[in-house]
Amino acid sequence: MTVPTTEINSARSERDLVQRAAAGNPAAQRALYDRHVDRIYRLVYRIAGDGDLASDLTQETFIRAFERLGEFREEASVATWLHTIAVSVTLGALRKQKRREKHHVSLDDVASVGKQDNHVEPHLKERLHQAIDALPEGYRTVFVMYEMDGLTHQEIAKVLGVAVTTSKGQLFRARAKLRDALKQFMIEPKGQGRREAEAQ
Amino acid sequence: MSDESGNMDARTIQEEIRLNAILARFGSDYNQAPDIIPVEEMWARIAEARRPDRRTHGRRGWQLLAASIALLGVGISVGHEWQKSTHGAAAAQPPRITAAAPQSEPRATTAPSATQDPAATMMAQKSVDRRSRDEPTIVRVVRSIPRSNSAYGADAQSANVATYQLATLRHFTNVEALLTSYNNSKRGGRMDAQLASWSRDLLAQTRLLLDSPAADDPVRRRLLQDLELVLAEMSQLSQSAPSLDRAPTDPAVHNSDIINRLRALVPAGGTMHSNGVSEQ
Repeated sequence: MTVPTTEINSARSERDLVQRAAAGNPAAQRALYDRHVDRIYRLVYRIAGDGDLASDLTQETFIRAFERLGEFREEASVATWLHTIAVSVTLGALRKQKRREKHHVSLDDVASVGKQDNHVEPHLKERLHQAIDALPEGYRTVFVMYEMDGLTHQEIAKVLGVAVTTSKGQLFRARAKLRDALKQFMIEPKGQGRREAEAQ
Repeated sequence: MSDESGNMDARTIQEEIRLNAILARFGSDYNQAPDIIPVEEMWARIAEARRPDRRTHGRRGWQLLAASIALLGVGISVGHEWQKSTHGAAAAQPPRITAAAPQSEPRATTAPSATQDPAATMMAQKSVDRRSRDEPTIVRVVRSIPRSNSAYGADAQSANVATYQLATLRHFTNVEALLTSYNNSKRGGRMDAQLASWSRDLLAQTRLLLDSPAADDPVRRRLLQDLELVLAEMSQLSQSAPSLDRAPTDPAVHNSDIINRLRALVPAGGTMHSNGVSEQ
């Protein structure tokens, strides 16, 4: 299978950009930053859940990346490499800050909220987000990267330094925990599916 | 029910379909960043942090801190020797924190006032003895250290700090050995699968230490974070990819800096010069 010419040209231009940035070219460094900052910031925000923290951690990611740019191998993916640094920096900061203690909701708490009309959309959304927050850190990281950031298991495995099977296993367990936490919503009421489809 | 191999019963399949629908509807809202992100503000801070004079100052500051730790260890040694000689054997208890001199006690010890709490002292000493005899993994060491100090007070807290430091130093020694072995194997043109497996083990232990009080010290925390990155890259290497094509960076290039930083905290000979706790 041949690689499209546009992809080859894009890869070449990024390699060229990395080389120039590693050589200290300020314009190249800025271009590299502009190319990846949006995705990195959004990933960090997903994991950290706070705007100021996401800014700090994104800066830290690029500072560390620029420090090591001279060692970067041209055949590798810059995006994956930046993801690796970003996730490492973010998880390290969260461990230190113990941020999740204030948002921590056990899955039992999520499931035991009083019986209301659980199929009201805002309530379901809140419960889903609480359930994701309550996932163990490793499961949540894989879940966020796979379901929301669109990374493949191969990419996640490279970012986290784990086996592909580990990534798949953690996603499987994360989804099992979410199904359990949202069991009251698992049976959709009559017409709900149509209403949701229409709303989309 | 379902298992991890993906075999699901009908009910689980229905729940999966329902979960997919929920995620499609509400998942993207989870911790969603605003449409406009502070690109320029972040770049300004990055540029400021990367100013040559700021970076040099940062490195110098780290070196100064490492030197201060070394000096502190020497100072504690001198202080204890002075105390013994001026106050006499009857008044002075045997020093519980030993210096980094080669003739110091072979086993790690606890803080001077820990003798007031024999249970805590015995607990810390037992864990050190166990490590000395059996060379257990960092996992067992860190888990054996009680995290809650409220029941024992400040003396046991000092003992636990020293024990975490020992665990960290032992880990650094292992990582240094791995990096040195890797550099030597790279020169041979081949990555041993055992090294990749070893790096995965050390990566797990590094993450454990990052989650422990061992990472409270900023110098150690930064080193542990850098180790995590390097070990994550090395763990992707395997015997099947001897040309290292799968590694985003060539770890060996960064290793020399890492090794120097490790050696600054754990000099050759297995003794340390931080807080005067020694191990042989």
